Amino acid sequence: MTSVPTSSSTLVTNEYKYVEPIIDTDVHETTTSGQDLLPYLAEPWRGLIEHKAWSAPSAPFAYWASHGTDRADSFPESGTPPGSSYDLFKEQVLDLYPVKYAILTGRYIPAIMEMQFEFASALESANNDWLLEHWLNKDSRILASIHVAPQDPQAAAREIDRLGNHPRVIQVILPIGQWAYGEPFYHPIFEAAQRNNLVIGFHHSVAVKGALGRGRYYIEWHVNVPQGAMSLLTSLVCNGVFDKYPHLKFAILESGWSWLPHLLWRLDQNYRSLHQEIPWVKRLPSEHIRERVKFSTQPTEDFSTQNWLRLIDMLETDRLLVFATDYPHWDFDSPVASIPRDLPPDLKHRIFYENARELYNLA
Amino acid sequence: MKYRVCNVDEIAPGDKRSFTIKNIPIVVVRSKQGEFYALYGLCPHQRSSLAAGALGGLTVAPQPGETFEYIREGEILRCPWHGFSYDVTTGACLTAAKTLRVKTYPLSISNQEVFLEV
Repeated sequence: MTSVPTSSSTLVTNEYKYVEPIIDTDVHETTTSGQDLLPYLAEPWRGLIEHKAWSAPSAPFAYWASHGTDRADSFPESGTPPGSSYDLFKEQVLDLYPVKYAILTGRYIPAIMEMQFEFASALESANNDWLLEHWLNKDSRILASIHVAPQDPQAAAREIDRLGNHPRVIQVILPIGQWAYGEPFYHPIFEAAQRNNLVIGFHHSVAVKGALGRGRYYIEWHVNVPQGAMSLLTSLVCNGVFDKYPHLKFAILESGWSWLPHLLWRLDQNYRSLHQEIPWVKRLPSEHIRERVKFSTQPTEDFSTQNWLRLIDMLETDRLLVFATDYPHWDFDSPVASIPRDLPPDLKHRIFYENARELYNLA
Repeated sequence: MKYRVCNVDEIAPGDKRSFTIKNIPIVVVRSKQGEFYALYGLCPHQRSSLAAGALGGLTVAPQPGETFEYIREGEILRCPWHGFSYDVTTGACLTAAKTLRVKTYPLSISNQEVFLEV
């Protein structure tokens, strides 16, 4: 009879490992608390938080994953929120897998505020200053997305110009919600991103809705998230963003990609019939998207290797997919268990590394 | 081979603890009714540690708008990442019983001590 001590570690040593380099294109860092931004906020904005006039709103629903928004094992022992601890992120992602770069994408609360855009812009600017000071100096593998309040595109452009030259800033992140970013109102943002050689990353927010609204249940809302990205791409194409900003590249994050063949076919079919309505669009939509947009793989939808290959065949290119974990969120994708192991090695290298390296022009 | 893992009082009803036996991660669960179960400790979906998951029950409601019942407390172990629900009495994932299942291990209790057969 043998006694067994309680084990806090349940990793076994003969598990499959992916040993080639990985670029993780979607990591959600967060502050330890709302107080973290105070040193970076000038008055009158700092006072609104200090005097408890505002606290960040939560989502308009409960998350039905087992521990809410995040992985159950991603809560730091200190009691700060998941995503706030570099040490835990290092243990659970950076050092656990062969990550060469991890791109921080943060959270989007000010960027979805429906009022007080000056306050939203100030909050995002403070968030950027906090992010650059508190995360980039921790690890040379970490790269940053800067946040702006798209509600005020002129202010957003000023913020992009302020920080766009930082060597570890590679992207401007915008929340997908109810905004047709293709419309000319938002073009100052694209202009600023292009002149600063930054990628525009779009990530869904709690403000996104499907065609029938959020639905009655969290599962409905979560299933329909890709509809926001689909509508967004249609808006970008039809309003001529690709034509007007020929050097700008885009990432669609955490909105899936298995719907993309349908969208490319439908966009092209409609363009062939209806292009005279949008004479500023000079090329087939699918050509623009294939050249200029990449899609993060998370959350993978658990379909077979054969279906991965079929879908990539339908897309007519293997250059569109970029890997992401989405750490610390509950629908995290493990590098060793989300991308099918039996995909061809060259294709896995493209998905895990090369496509993101090309997108972000990394060494 | 039999291994003594703990005293019965070390796992309260509705709680769980993790052990590593012969390099095998195992979660020992005690239902709200006091029964013990042991399961392989990695979720077959993406290999997260089930020991970090939530041990709870099962929701039952006939249709939207009806009152929810919550049954089998302490018998459903949810993966800490994607929330897949595993029946601790069989090891089967409730929504993919044929393709996702974790091994269960025989347990016995003797003199208030819990023994695991691995």
